[in-house]
Amino acid sequence: MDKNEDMDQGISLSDLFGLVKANILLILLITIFTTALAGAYAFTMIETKYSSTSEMMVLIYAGTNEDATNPNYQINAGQFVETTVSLIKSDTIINELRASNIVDIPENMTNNQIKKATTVNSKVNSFIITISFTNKDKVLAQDMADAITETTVLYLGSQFNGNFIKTTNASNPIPQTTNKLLYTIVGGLIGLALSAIIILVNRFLRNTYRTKEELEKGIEIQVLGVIPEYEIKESGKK
Amino acid sequence: MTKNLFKRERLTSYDYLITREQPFSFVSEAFQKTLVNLEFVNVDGNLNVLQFTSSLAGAGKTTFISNIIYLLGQKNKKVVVIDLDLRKPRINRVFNAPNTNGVTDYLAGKINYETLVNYSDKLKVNYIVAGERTLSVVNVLEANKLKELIKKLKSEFDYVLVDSPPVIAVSDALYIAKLVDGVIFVVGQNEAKKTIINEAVSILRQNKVNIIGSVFTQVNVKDSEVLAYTYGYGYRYGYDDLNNKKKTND
Repeated sequence: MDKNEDMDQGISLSDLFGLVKANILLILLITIFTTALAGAYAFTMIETKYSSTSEMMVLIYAGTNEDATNPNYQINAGQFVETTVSLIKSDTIINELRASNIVDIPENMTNNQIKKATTVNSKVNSFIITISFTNKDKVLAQDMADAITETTVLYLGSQFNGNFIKTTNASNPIPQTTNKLLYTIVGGLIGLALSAIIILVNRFLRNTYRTKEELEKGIEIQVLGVIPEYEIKESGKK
Repeated sequence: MTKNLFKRERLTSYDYLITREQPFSFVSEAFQKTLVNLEFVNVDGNLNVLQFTSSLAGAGKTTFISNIIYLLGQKNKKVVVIDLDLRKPRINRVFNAPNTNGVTDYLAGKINYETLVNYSDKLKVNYIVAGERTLSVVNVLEANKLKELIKKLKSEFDYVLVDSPPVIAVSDALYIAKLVDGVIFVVGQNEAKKTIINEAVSILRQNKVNIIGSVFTQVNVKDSEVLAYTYGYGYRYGYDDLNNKKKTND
């Protein structure tokens, strides 16, 4: 296969435009279908969830090694806050929460689901930790944010040499707005990509003679003529 | 079904001859060029009876034959086209004629030679339609009377063009090939897979058919190539041209 033949076998920008033009119906159908599918999913299937946030503060008591009741753990404030953040989403706190009965946790809600629904954040050089809980039930979201914060303050306060203070009660639940339009647009883009893949795969898998040279070489018969494709409109008929 | 849904439908109007309606279009130029090549191949003048076949249906045989026969007629050649695609006859549509008083009727003795051979005032060429449908197609194609008919046509006309069925579908084309001087193999771009076309050619070769050339039809020509075809004459072919032509005719 010589270089010229290689070039003939390739696909040029003009070919690409030709392919798009020839398959515009397919592209439109697939794009409309995936857009509609994504839109239907976004607007009907995705449930609105609510999030409520509570805050707590962590203060470290700098005790001394001489006082056995107040040992100094050689821990800095940043590390302590980070450790607290990790502990909040641990089974220890969640089990304490279940045992405390201060909130009615649905029976089918597992520890892992609680961990996934819980978001704990802290800022650098700040002793404030924000605890958010997200659920489709706005009351439960608020109750859980409150309960997790309270349980953490009580449990860690009794276990560690620090001062844990609940600074803010759980906020009114805020709906977590999913960008449904974005979902729909992404659906459309996926449709475009999918149709492009289908067209290109079809183009490269189509095992037909495309050029005169290819035909001549394939069947080993001289080509006497190449007749271009032409179309006749109904109005063009006699 | 999917193919029909997504593939642009190719409207086929057999009585619309582009070489007649738009003689200066680049498509007509392509037909002219093909005819020149065909005459060059037949420089000795011993290939007077030419059969046109393809691998599968839809390659554009009838459209090709009708345009070539028109161009030959324009060159004052005495030419006749005979429809031996007895299963799916189409030549009558080119001439807007009924498929009656054709080959099968002649072979059955229902009509005479004069009635069989028709003349088109519009295209200025002779034509023979397939005639009444028959179940014994092979018997018809093997009939001595058909051989004699072809012989007679050959003696009377400069060219006898034979429209025949595709090679893969039925064996008719092979029977017809025994009656002709040479075969033109018509290939439609994207109409059939390479393996099918190769198989058809292989069948023809196995049967010692004299394939004198092939024609590549329904080729999607890029704009740049279109310009090359027209040699800068400035002719463009498209819907607008068709409509304008129609308006002019009206």
